Amino acid sequence: MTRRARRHLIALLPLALLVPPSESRAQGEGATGTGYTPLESYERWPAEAVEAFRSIPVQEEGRLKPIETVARYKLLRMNGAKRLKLEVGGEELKLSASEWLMDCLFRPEVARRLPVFKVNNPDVMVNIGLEPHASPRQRYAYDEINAPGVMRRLSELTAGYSAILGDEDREDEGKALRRDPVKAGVMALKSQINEFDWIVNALNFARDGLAVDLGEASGKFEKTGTGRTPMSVFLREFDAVLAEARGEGGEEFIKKLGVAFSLLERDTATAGVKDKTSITSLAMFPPVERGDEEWVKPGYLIERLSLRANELSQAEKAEFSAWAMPKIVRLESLAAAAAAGDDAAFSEEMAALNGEIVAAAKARGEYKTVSLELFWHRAGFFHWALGLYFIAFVLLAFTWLAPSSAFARIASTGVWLMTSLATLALVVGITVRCILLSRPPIATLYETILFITATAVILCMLIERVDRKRVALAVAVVLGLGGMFMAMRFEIKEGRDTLKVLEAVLRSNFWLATHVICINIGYMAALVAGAIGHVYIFARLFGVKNRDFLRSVTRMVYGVTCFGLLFALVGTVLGGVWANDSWGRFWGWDPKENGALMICLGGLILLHARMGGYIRDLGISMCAVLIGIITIFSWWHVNQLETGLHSYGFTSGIMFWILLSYGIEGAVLALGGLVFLREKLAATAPSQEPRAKGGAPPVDGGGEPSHT
Amino acid sequence: MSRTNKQKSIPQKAFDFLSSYGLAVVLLALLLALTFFGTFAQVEHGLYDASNMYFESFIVVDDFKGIPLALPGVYLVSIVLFVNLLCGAIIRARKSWRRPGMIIAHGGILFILFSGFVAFHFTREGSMLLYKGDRADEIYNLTDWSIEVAKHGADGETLKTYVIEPDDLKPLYKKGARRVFHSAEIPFELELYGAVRNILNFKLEATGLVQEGAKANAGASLSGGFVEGFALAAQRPNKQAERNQPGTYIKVRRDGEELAHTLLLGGNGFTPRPLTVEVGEETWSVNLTRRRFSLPFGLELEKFEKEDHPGTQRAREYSSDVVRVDDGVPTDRYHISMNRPMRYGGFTVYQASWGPQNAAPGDPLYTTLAVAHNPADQWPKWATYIVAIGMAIHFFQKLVAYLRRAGRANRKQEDTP
Repeated sequence: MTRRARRHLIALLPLALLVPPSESRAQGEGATGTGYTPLESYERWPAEAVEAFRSIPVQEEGRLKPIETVARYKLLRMNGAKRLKLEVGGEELKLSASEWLMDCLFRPEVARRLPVFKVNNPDVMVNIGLEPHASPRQRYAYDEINAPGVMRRLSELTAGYSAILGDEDREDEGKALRRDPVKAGVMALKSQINEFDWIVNALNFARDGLAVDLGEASGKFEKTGTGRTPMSVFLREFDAVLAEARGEGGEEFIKKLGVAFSLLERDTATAGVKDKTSITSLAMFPPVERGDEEWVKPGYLIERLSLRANELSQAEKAEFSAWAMPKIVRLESLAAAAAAGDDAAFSEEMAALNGEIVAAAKARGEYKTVSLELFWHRAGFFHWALGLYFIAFVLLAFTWLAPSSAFARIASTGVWLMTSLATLALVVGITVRCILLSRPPIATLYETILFITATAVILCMLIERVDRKRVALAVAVVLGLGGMFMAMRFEIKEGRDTLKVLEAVLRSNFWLATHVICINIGYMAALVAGAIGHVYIFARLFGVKNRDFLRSVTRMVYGVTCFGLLFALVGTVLGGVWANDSWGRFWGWDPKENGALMICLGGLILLHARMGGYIRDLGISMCAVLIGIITIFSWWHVNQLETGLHSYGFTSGIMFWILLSYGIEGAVLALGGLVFLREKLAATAPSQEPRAKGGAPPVDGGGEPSHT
Repeated sequence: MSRTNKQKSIPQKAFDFLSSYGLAVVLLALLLALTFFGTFAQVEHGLYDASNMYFESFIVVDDFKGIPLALPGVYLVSIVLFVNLLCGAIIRARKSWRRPGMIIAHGGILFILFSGFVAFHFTREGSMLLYKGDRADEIYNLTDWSIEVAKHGADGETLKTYVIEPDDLKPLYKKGARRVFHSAEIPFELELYGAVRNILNFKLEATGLVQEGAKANAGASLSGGFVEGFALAAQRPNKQAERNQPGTYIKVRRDGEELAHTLLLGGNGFTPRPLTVEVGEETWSVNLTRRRFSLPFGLELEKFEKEDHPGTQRAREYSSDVVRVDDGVPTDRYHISMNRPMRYGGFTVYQASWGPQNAAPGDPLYTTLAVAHNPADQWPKWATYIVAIGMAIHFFQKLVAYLRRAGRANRKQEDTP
């Protein structure tokens, strides 16, 4: 029995301390078996019940959302995907996140045997004493990890890690721990297991009731005959239970009820009370008071009618009970229908639950974004964008096979079409997000990916419209595909709802719409210029001699750099002005500010070096690639430094990709250097043939820079 | 006809050098490198120390992942850049209607650099912490410490306060440093030595205050001997500089006679006892305290509100309703919230924070207001407008030229059979 339950019983039932704690533990365990066998069959939930379930609004992380969103991100965190694939009896099934969550809530014995947990690093499993699967694609089921000794080992390891992470004097050790893939994997697995545990126990009270039969404890109550008392019955009889306990011979009665109270406290906690921190339970009921914004978790209903009933007057209790009891009964009916396998009753109960909550949400004026969010999920705009960019990329590859052929022209039109459709899907997706959140498009790292990808593609398409060399179009497709792939991977890595409410300091639509947008356009332009710079370097590396083409590419690089510099510079200074209004200092040398400044400085160096004649076409492209590297640093790397005001963006496990991109870009720069040296050597080597008088000078080359 | 380099006078050559693109590129590259190294230095040293080392210094001597660095600091580079911009982009630049944008933009950047210079040298900033009903007219700088020597009247009231400024204390944190301070208006001199910047570990325990005979002494590197049973040992500076708490050995002398020899520890509640010096009829106190500034007005907190996102502990909004108090008389009311500071009399008051962070629901909360007096407060905003206008004009001209060229090229391509 936990301290809180005990405290309550001391107040209400003076002899409750006599109840042996081991008894409650014994009852608490045994819910999961240790011998794991995969599922041999799986019965799907009725479609109408799933449909009703997924649109139930719940409040989580500060906003109201469909339960579908909660399910998708819970599953994503554990499974690495928003749908669950499983093989049952040789047949492959794909479950939606909502179906999986329904299993967790109403059929936990099935949920525990579903292969949910994705562990990429087999050493994680070795460390906790479990034989890893042959492939990381094969997920682990809860019951598989819940083998003798394994769960205890997992808990011991994570307790040790938590001690290090919580000790400020061991900061370096903590950082090393978080960057250790095995230790970080162990911690992530433990966190997922905990979350799973919470969710499968969330409706214990509705499924199991209390593990005591009031009628057997005292003749004053009705016998259920099951050895258990439904929660609704217990709550209805709660005052009578107290009276009985306080009455003559109440000691024996209390002894029988001790376990029940212990489990009541546990089940109340897992069903969720007003703790303001837990995102593991479902805040699924609109609050009683109209002015109250915080939705209510089922545990709160039970708590107010039992453990904290003494805080209410009789009238208040009656009023609260009239409001809360039908909800508890509804959940019990659902659980009973699920246990009985009665699909029709289950669907009916689910539709009724949905109807009651949706009606209340509508009455409060809170439902309109919920249905839009469901549409947003269903439409899958970003998946469409990814797929269409991929098709555009394939068509683009075909145009490279025979660039001057009629087929290439047709394929090129296809590239235009697919890229335009993909970008349209992306822009619509971003716009819906803005409507859902009532704010400009960028406030989180994830949103920067979407915005930068969309604007980069649009900018490239505009350039292509003017230039028509198919260079910008190719860059558009590559950036579009790469950006959407990155967004997808980032979402999986984070495993959190990407529609986030904002910190107080960020809640300024003016600054989000000016500073943040400007900075990100600056990032975008720097990346586009760098990408086009690649084209130039490779063209020179492979001996392309077409001067018009090369000059045109240089003009693009230069123009986009200027465009980006304007936005980066203005955005950076606007950030300073914002900081001046928020924190009282214009410039604080925060890493993110420094990153933006470095992009500006890179652009300024390029412009001034060009004006001074220190660099020409090749140099401009190489500088643009370098600025691209700086942009990667500013966009991603500074968030990994875990210092400064903008360190909100720390994401574990992406440092490898950052270093890889530095490596690739560094290699491109080295190739540019190679081209420069090769041409310089060729220019200084004795000429085999006399140079034609008045011939055109080389596009780029050695020699002294021409000062202006 | 332009003169060759050999024919130019030395001032002309110097002007050419100072206004050259080459110098601009080198300075910008140096700024880039310094910003990069300074950013990484923050991981190691924290923002405050890294800023001091890289961004507010003439010379940087540090190492980057084991590689020794010796570079001019951002302060020095910025001054030379200012001169370079002034000579090259304003004085030397061709004044033509074809390129007005660049002159305007460079003028704006000069303005930004100048604003930074003014802000760096003339900004006074600090914080005040108020519970509901509290009134204050002083602010404390959270990172800079000073020594206040105060003369008190018979009733203990402060008659006059003399301050040893943070810049004079900082050199004393070096090992072996020692300095004597005296003033014609103070009847004694102070000798400070063995000063340490921080006596707290990261759990904010005073592990740097070592008791004589304690077991922990064995490994402690003391900055001076034991005085009154205690000695100081420097602790690793906290990356959050406001968490550091300094301490120093102090000797108070008058005409060669030692009036006191003790430890002076930073903080208010933490100081074991105030150092009091009696000289004849006069009572003086010596205190190591965060740098304090008086405001020409007071603020009284009427209400502090913190609103969370529903069902979370994440603050959605927090704000303070304050009353300005002039000469003890409440005057105007202000609502201060995130991104909406109060501006009055050259001072700006910001909603910085709140606490206690671990307060239970219903516990009283305090507000932390940051106050700054920066003569260049709004200059960067105006400079931004100037830069944006200049660059927009310039790049618009470039864009038009580019589109014309591209249009011609496309027409030429279409005309080619």
